[in-house]
Amino acid sequence: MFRYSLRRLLLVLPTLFLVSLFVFAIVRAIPGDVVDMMLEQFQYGKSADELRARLGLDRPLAAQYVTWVGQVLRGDLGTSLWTNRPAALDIAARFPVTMTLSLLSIAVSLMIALPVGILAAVRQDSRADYAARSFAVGALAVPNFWLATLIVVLPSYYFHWAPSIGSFTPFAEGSYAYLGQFLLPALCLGVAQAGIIMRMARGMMLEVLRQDYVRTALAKGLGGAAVVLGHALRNAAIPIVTVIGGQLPFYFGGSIIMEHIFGLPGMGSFVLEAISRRDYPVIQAVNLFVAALVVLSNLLVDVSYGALDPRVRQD
Amino acid sequence: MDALSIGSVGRRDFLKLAGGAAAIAAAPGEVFAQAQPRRGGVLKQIGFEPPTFDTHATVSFQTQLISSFVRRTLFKFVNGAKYGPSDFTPVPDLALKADVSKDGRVYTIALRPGVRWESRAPVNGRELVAADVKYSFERALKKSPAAYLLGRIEGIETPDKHTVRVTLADAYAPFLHNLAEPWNCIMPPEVEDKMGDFKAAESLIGCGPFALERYEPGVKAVFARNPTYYAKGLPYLDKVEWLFVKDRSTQLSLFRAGQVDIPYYDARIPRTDVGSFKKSNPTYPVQFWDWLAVRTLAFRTDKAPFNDPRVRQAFSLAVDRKKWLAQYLEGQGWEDPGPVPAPMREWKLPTSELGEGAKWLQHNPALARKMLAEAGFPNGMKVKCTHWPGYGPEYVEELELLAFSLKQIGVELQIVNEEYGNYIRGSFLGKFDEASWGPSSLFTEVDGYLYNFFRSGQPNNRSHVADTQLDVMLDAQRRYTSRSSRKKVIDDIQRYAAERAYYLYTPYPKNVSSWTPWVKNYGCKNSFDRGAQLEVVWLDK
Repeated sequence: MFRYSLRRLLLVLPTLFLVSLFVFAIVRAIPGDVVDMMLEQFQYGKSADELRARLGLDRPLAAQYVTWVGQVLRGDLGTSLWTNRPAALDIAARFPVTMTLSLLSIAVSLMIALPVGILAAVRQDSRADYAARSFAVGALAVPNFWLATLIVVLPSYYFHWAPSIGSFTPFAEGSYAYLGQFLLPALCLGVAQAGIIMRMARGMMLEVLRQDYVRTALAKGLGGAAVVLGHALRNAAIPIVTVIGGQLPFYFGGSIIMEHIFGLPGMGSFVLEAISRRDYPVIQAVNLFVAALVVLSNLLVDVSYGALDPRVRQD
Repeated sequence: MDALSIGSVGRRDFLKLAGGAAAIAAAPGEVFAQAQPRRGGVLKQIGFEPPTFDTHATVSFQTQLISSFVRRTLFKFVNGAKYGPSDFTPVPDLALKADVSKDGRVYTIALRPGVRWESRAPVNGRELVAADVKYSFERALKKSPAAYLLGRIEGIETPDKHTVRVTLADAYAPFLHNLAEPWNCIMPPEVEDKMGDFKAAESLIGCGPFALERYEPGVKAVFARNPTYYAKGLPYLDKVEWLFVKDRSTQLSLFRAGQVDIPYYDARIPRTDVGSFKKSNPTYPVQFWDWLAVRTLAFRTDKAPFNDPRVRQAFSLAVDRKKWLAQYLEGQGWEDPGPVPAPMREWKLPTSELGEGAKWLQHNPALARKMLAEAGFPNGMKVKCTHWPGYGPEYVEELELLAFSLKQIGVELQIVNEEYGNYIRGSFLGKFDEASWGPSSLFTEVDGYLYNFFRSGQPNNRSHVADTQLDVMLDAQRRYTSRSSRKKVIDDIQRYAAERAYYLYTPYPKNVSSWTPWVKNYGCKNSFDRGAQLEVVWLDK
């Protein structure tokens, strides 16, 4: 297990290198030059050349890249060209919001998808199965931003009620209040993913329930719930974990929209503003940070295979 | 001393107003006795999170809005429900009065004695003095992109601690008016000495009606009543929460639910939602009001085909302004042929007095097609027009309406949607290939709509106008300190501009705003000075 984990960990390094290269290049491929913006919309320097030199943007791209990677390796994610604030400070302040929303969304997805998926598999072709499958298709078809907008708009129109938006309670000031403000956005984000996971759970459970060992367990007199939850679900879980791990970028991307609609101070609005201002160091820092998270989450998924399936460990 | 105009008010009138308003500020309770203002309460308003808190480092109105709660100007415009949105009558703020020399070049400004900065470091409640004004003006001249709106300042002196004397190279009519703009606020030098700049929220230290109590990035800024504000009894509100909610449908939902009192930075609601608001919230006031920012189709008049006035005039003839106003805007707007916005009634020249230029404002597609043919385009033409769709669906609809109008004379307007960063640093500053459509910035002084749009070399001269005769008139209107003399020149500019059709001004709607019924004495205003606007507002609930 240790060697397996180490091997997976080593594979992360070239991936992160490629990601850093891509992030650095793609940021500079966005049309529009930050120096022009700073000079024309804001008075930050006397001339383009002077400002470019001051910001270190006059050097060859390769040199800029090496400097940036060097900074990152020393733990410095860079400083905003506009505000002079270290990007790490803003990420530290905003990341917990996005992470909480993403985790809660995953929890919502699982809480809906697993019971419904298992029920649909166990009672294949029953009314419950048809209802569950219809729900899955519906959840996939409804865009989460549309659902979120309806949740915000309709009650205000008909009942003069709206979710509490416009104030944000930090975790330190109350954990219930903190988590409460994520419930609706997590529900909107989680429901769409629940459809995908539910379909996957149903399909895998159907396959596993037909295996010989399940039939043997039932023949030995084990109860249905014990067989399904104790034996079948564990074997059906690997593809489900894969799907969740692969969907992490979706949860982050979806968080941007939810943060916008529900007024949450997460990374979404932060990175959007950075992009509109061409704040290269901030865009790079956020993208690299998120990319590293996704890579690490995939690593965790890979490692969890070993925990779920001993055959993977032996390989 | 000579008569000097400040907006629509003569110098003597201004000085009288200054005295009167000083009394208002001193005894607000008497002035609003009939309305019985109440003290207390928290007003929640949808606002913007600014890119920086340094008003001199940006052209962003978002910075001006948030800064104005705390940092004040020497003069301010009248505010409250009884004043019109374009009533720019100046009244004293940090200054008590201004005397102007006969030649209009020297302004002697008497500061209000006893004004104190906030009671916190690094200013620690010290008195505001002339040196602060000198520092702020010099900093604005050095750093602000709006510095050109102060005229050509030759020198700033401080004869004593409550007097500032500003000497201009030439008489400059809009000078005093522009001292009331929030980008021209007075800032304490100690803050820059200690913090290095004014970019951070912590640098928002002033002597205005409110003080910054809390800033939560991405969430809100909370302003509390400044206990040392010079106007005793003001502001009425205990606090203002300036919320950074970005999604428009969320903003409106919070407003419908009564969770916010004012649904936008200027209380605007979408025109298309007026009916549903009246239905869902029948007690909410709904007010149509005159917005000043005009909409223009700017042309590259420095090259073909738009260097030919016939092409520009033909474009203008394609627009049926009366129908646009009656049908699309349902009568709630202005035909407005520009360049002076129609709500600036004291400067606006009626179409009937525009002379030869008036004929290009008629709707005559047949003549337009003929003129295009004479200009070498018998089969019409294709024109690329840049635009930022983020202004909102109403603007996109207006552009589509313009495209439809032009299609009737054989012109295909190819709309090129741009991302905001590219638009604001490119097309908005005249960097486009053929044409660009969008709203203008908001100016409270008529000079903003003339000098910026038409004077050669100005960054906001989006149509690349380079007309020596017009330049002479534009410079002249700035030098006339007598309102009547200035008006004559501005009339001539409007006639001249109508004839040349350097821009195509399209009709534009009135704004429609709403606020919760318990918000009292709120007056819509064509200004970014939210501090002055909200200091006279109270809550009745």
